[in-house]
Amino acid sequence: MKQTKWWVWLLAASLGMLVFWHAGASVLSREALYPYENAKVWFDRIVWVRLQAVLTRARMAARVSMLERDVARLRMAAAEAEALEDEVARLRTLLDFSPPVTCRWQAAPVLSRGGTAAVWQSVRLAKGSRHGVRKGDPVVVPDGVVGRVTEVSPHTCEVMLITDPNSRVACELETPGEGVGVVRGILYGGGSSPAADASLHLLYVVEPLRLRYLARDFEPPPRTRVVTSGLGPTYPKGLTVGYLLESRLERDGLAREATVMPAVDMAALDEVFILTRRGGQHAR
Amino acid sequence: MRVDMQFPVLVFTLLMAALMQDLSPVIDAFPVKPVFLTAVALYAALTRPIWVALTAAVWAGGLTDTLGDLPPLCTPLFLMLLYGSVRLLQRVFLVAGLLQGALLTAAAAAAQWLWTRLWLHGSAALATLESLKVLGYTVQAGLLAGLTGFVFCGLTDRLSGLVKPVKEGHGILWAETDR
Repeated sequence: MKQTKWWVWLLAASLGMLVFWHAGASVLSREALYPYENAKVWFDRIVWVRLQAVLTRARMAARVSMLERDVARLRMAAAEAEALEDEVARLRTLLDFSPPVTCRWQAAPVLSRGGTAAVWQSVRLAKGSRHGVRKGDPVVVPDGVVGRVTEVSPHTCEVMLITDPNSRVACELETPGEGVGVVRGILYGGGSSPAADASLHLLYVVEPLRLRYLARDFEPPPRTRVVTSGLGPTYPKGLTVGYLLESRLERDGLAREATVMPAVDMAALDEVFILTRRGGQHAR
Repeated sequence: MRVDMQFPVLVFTLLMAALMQDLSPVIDAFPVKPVFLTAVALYAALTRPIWVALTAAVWAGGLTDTLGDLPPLCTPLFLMLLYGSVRLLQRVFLVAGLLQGALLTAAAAAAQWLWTRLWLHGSAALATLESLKVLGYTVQAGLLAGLTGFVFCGLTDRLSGLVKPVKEGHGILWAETDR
């Protein structure tokens, strides 16, 4: 009888927690799984990779020499970039410009994808508020933009991918052409709302993104690079989002809409970079 | 107060189910997640007293919603309704066997997918060929989750001592009655 009462109280407390403190329950459940998921990441990196290296020695040797060449090339590019940065800082001082707000890159391994329901296009990362991550921080890889942080707990964060139907990114075309000016639009992930277009968006089916509200008089050529415009509150300017496939006039004829293939292969994400802010905003 | 052994067993099985469901990959060939949490809730519905089974349903649903970024009470409500249905069907599903578990979980997985889509997007999201395709995948995922979940829960029950071997009323084990 005592134990039945105990279970009844536990049930009532659980329901109360889910109704009145859902955000806290979400943080607690993510933190509860974090040590085990992090252990799996460690296992993949330390044990599995070494096991694969033993089994595929010949291929690993070729890959190592290719990576060494890439590292040497990137070191040269980094040295050039450092020299340019010094020159820019010197010119800013001479012209009395205010110093830019800088970001810090925080590497984060991917713990899991899609959560437990696989309804939204999201990934969970092994970095959280203890590492300086905040809601709204952009997430990128060298190829381009991945998404933005939507929820944060002490050791983990949830990232909504740009392929999610709820994602919106302020973008512009990189090199629209002479005499055209800047061509800007809003990038929509995946597709329209389910009521209008009831098709499903699966996590790894690369649905083209839609770039809407482009200037109607300019038809951009295919393969134009689409980058972030820096006008929204989240993404700094100039990050690659994807490549334009084709464009057409919208139904009302007032603007142009284009389909964009994302630059990042969302199925192959193992480690990403979070741009954590300094000074309250991202660099422009 | 003596600790009820069902509490740590429930916590352990739900934690392992949440971990497996969260870590399972979503790929083109199989674009849904196996519903291990639902399988654990169904096992509890078949083998536990009412309040323990309802608590398992609420916790399993809560974990699905919080880790899957779904609205609050979306899955706990479904699992509590599922518990009611299972109790009504108890005459058909007498024991928590593997076959019964797999079939129940397969049906529950499809129903859970429909429930979640209706809750999030309304009926317009269901009337497509894609929806039927994904429904087929959810049934397969449910079969897999049911088999794995019921095996794991049964093993945990045996190891924890919640399930004990049956003895004869006069104290002599049946294996010794022929001597």
